[in-house]
Amino acid sequence: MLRKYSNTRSLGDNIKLGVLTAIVAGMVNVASFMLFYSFSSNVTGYFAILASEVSQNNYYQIAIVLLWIMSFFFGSFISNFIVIHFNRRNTYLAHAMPIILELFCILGVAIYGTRFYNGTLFETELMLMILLLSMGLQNGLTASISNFAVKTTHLTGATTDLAIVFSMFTHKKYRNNKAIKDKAKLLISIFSSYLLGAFIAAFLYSSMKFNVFFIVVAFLTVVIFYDLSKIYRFNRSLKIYRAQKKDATETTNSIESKSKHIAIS
Amino acid sequence: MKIRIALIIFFTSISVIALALIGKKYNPENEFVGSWEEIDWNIKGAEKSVVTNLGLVQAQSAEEEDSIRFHVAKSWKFKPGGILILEDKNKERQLEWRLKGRGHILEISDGVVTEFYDINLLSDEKIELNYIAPSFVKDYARLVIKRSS
Repeated sequence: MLRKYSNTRSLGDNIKLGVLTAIVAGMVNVASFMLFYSFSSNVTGYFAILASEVSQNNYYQIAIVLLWIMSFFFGSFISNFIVIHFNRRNTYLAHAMPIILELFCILGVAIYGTRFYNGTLFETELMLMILLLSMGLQNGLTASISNFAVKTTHLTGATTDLAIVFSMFTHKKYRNNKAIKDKAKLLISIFSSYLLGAFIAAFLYSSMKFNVFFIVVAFLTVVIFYDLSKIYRFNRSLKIYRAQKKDATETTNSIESKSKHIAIS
Repeated sequence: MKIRIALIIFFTSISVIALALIGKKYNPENEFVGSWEEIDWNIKGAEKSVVTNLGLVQAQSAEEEDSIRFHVAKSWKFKPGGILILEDKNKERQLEWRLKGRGHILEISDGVVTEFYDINLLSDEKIELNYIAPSFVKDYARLVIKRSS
């Protein structure tokens, strides 16, 4: 899910990544709306709000909205920066690092929210900024490693893509096109996962409040360790294979030397 | 190298502009703090509208609990630390207040029921609040309070 890059990724890799990160995005967005009365997984609305605040000369709100947009931007920037600069050294680590940073951001919000949050405006704005940063990190990573096929923090583009795909299915020529079918599968899984995450957060919010973010952290941990376990298993198999090969070579050599010895004597 | 410098300048300038703007206008929370006098409740009722009074009178029925609750009080005292005191004649009730979002939502809670108001206008002299009703309540209410002298 995280190990492969761009065109080497299979549909399965993209679906797995899309499903898990869309659940995370749906949960974070709904939880932040219920806790802070502002969304945290997309910035389209904030551009409209920014324009509205500018027209009303609300300098404080302009600054806050600007910082929120910049947080999302900065998150996506860092993600792609890490991917393109460290991809050759260690692909898995380069792809996992943005998710690890995202995990720490959300974990920070969860811990602060459950233990120290007093409900002040400053805390609210700061935590929203951190959540937007984390969503930027996530979106930057998924878009970057999937060649822009997977974007899970907002559904505007996905809605357009899905509408286009569905309209293409109305034409005989495209109905059995594998690439279009695969695209539809990916988009539908992202949609349903985002909604599932949103429902989970909405359902759990009343009893769990900030603890919802700990569940988000659990999902992110799965994303990180899923590939790590595969790498571990692969390395172990490789080790076993090499050891077996070495044993086989040694056995062959010893048989050969024994047969030579017998032949000489 | 040039691109790196441009990026650093870009991020720094946006941050500086944002921080400068924050510094220009003080926190909206500070603007709320003080004593305010209730001057108007503009209510456009719907079929189910029942005027109750969370601030000083308890709801009488379940139907009232589902409807908009009005904090009718002569004086609204917003204190630092999220304490709101409603006063009317000899009655007094303590609630909690918080600002949410980017400072555009006022949250008032008595510990059981939490209400949200969209801040339509926030100035030194006057605050206009639009009640954010749950989707099943078709009511509209606007509260206007002015700063007590």
